[in-house]
Amino acid sequence: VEGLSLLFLGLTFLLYFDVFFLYLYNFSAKRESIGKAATYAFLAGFLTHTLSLVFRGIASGHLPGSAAYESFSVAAWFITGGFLLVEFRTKKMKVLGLFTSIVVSVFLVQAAAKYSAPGPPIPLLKSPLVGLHFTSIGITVAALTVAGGSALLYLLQERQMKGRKSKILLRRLPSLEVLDEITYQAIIFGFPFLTLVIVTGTIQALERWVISQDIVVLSRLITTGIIWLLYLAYLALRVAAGWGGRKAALLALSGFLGLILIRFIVVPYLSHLV
Amino acid sequence: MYLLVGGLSHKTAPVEIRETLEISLMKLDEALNDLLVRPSVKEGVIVSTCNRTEIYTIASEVPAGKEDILQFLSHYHEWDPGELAKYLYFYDNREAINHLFKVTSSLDSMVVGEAQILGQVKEAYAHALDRKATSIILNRLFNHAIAVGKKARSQTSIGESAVSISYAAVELAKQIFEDLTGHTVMILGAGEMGELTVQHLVDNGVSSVLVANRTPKRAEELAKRFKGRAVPFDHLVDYVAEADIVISSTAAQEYVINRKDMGRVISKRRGKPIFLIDIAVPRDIDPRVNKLENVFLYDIDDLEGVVKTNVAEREKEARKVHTIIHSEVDEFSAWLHSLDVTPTIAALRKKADEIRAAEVEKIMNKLNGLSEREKNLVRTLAGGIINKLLHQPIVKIKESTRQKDGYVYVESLRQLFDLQEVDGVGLKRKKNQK
Repeated sequence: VEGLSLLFLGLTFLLYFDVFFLYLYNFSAKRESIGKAATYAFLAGFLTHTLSLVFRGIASGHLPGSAAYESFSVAAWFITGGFLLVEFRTKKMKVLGLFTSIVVSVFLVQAAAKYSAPGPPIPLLKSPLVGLHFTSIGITVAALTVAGGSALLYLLQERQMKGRKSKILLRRLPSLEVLDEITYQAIIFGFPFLTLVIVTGTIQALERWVISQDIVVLSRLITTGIIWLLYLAYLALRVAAGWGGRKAALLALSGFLGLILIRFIVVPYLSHLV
Repeated sequence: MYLLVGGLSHKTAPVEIRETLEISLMKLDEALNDLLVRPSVKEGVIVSTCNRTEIYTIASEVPAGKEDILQFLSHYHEWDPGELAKYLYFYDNREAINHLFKVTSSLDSMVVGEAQILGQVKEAYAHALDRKATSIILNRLFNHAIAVGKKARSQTSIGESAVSISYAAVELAKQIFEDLTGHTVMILGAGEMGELTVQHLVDNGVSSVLVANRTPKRAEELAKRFKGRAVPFDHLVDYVAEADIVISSTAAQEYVINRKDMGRVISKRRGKPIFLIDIAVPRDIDPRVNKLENVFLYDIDDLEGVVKTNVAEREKEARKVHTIIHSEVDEFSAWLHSLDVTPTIAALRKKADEIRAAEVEKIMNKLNGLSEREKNLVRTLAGGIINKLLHQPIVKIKESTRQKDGYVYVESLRQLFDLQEVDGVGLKRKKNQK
């Protein structure tokens, strides 16, 4: 069964990687059918990815997401799902697909590098609270990646408009209004899950406060807390002070970069330290 | 049977000439009748727009066809043929196919990539079809040409970017606001360009229009025209915040909207973007407002810059369209060539000869002990049957080419006898593609 899981994961990687080139080709030459094909290939990749996770779950006997290998794969799965959701609703986010497909491909490479055989979950991870914690992380990462990507596109498009240059590639982007709205919606959606991540994380931390890893846990909580405040500020300023456009996009983008920094640099680094 | 096109366009004739030669849609039927009675003209389509008047025909001979087209145009418009001939161009066969494909893909248009011409050609063809002025060749040619036009637009960006100031403004507005429906535009001052831009914006869904003008009467007039609302010019800044798009073209010597005004507008709009189009000279809006967040200001030079980039972009795309046209012309010429009577007869003879040879060979193997003379008799018999059988059809088909629709027989003959090979190339290649 684990073999099947790996087979599907390999297939997924090939699909995601192809999707990147399909999207790239879609923008260099104007071929709408290629763009559509890319999106469907992405969907196919998402399905094989789902199968891979299901088989991994069967092999290990629990929900995937505990070992580093699994968490990278799960995070990529959530990001792909988030992107596909937005693309199928707007049909105009194919530029974002270029960005997403390369991000998830890198995630899968990372996953493969940290491969570990399926085994029982670390005892700690058996509790439902921990399950909730990791699921929330996945959803949060996906939603905030979409928000960050669309904020990045907003900034590119805005620069283009202010600079009075009309490049054909950027003309195929969604308008500023839509990009701004997608960022906002994705953050509204992701924020409760980010909150959940912190709440469940804090409870866990309190439970095993005595255990030696306190510095790691504490620094994680603090950094995530800062990110949380950043997004809270985004929402508050938007609703109360009418922030929109460039400043809001910058805030959303920095939140996303902070998140990536914590999840993939600070956390692994601290874990090695102890 | 020759494919022949003759006519004039913006490339060969100035507007004073073109306007006298335009054939309006209402008169098209009458004109087609007049065209089709000419002796050499077998089929005809008249394409007439403000930029071109072209006569597409299937003619029995090229020189006679040219003469008939010239006579038709000069007679129809009461021109002296000698004088008119100076403005005309003619293309035949491959060149004619190439020309029509260029027309439908708008490479031959005044503004390369414009969308109207395809519709105009469709309409001209529909009229001719209705009048039964066309048959196999022109039907297939025009259907093919329309498909080429669509292909050029869908596979390249030739028609994508705006190449006029007012459309460029609409396009930019759509890059800020996805859908213009429900948005508000405000026009300051009057002027053709400003009004045209408002018109385009309204056509694209903008639902409410605010008008400010120093002359209240003028403001009322414009407001009425766009079903909008006139606002007092002296307090216009108070209303700017309501607008998503502002078009300014007043004759004022000083800034009508300064930076401080805009700062107030922006805080009132609570983060919603605003698009300012300043087409006045001297400018109406302080250029420094572009530095403010969520303000996008384009002056006339900026818009012209956008148009210039877009024109260059279209020229680049035109090269891709040429490549598409080239292969489509090849395909169509191959089909057209297959309708020639001589190669068809040759192909028929060749096929019959192959059958005869194969059958004789087969029977000879079974008939042992025949003398050389008897063998020759068998061969003569087989050859005689083939020749007698084919004689009449071949004579008839040669005659038929002198009639209208003669190639219908050629086409049928090819179908009936499954003659696909034309000089080894052409159709055969096309079959393989499918």
